[in-house]
Amino acid sequence: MGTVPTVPTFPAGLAATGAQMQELAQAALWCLQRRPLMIVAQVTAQSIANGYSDYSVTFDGTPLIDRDSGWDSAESQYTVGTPGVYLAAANVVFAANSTGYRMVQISVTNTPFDPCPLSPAIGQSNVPASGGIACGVATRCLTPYLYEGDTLEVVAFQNSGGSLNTQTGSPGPSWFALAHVSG
Amino acid sequence: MMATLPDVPSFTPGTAPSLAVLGALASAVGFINYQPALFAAASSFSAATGSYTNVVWNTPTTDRDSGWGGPAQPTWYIAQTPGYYTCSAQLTFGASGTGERAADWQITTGPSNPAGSGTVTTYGHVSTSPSATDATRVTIGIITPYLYVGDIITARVYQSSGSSATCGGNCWISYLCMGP
Repeated sequence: MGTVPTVPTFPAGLAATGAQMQELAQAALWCLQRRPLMIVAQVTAQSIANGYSDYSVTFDGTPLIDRDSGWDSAESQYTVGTPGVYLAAANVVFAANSTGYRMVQISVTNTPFDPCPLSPAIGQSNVPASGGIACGVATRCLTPYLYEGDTLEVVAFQNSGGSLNTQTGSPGPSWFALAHVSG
Repeated sequence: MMATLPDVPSFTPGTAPSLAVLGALASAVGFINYQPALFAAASSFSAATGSYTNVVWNTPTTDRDSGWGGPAQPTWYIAQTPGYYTCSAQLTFGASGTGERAADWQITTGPSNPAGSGTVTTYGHVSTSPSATDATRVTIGIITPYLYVGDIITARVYQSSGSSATCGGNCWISYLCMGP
């Protein structure tokens, strides 16, 4: 869990103190190297039920990075530790099947204390299914301002007529990424 | 070229910082405000059916890190600064209702990557059914794994119309280094 650093002000006519300069340096360091960032991929293929409207995608890989320790592998969801606006991106790859369409979205669950409740779904994207190759669906969006405790997860939908697996080999895994971009 | 990341200095209370230390802080803030980035477009190119084709990018309009592969390797972006990158591309296929259209990213590790040189991974696969009457466009985007200097990113297209197809026109790509 983290907080966006405060950038000090320097009144004209007064000498900057070492503490103020250190505070400024810490703010720069946070922007450069410590902004929350999380990237996780799916390792094990997952069966997605037909027509199920709220099917949470399981990302069972070890996160490549999770600076804010927000990823919960048991629930496959991310809990916001540092408030702000995030770049959210996800990609779900379904096995080849030409019936129906495929959808992916990022769902946000707000805490009761959030002063600006959101619609639960952001960045919804859907495409007609492809049967010759695996069907990949991607979403990528800036979130509204998120508060500490808000959670995000990737939700998929497919209506092939039966259960359909995600694909984990070629042409690449399903993945989910979040990057804090503004406090 | 911006092949190294700036160090953020520390300040000790009671000690006046030197100009060099202030300069280091200014350099770090400057990096945050002017991260390595590329923006380029693609002219029309031919893509064979049933296989992936690397997208050929024109001379970038923006390339702060000189990462574009140049005329010799116009499909490459070669990381000059280590870190995580956010990448976006819009890719266009000519009108044809047959088969499928897809695109993804391919990352090839370079010699300074701990995984060794030449390891290839693909990310961000997107596919769709094409339109017979209008161009088909797909947008792909990723936040990359940590890239080391010399790692190569390419955007690829796939089409299965049954014959070679013209792609390009209103295609663009962007890379932005988000820092280490």
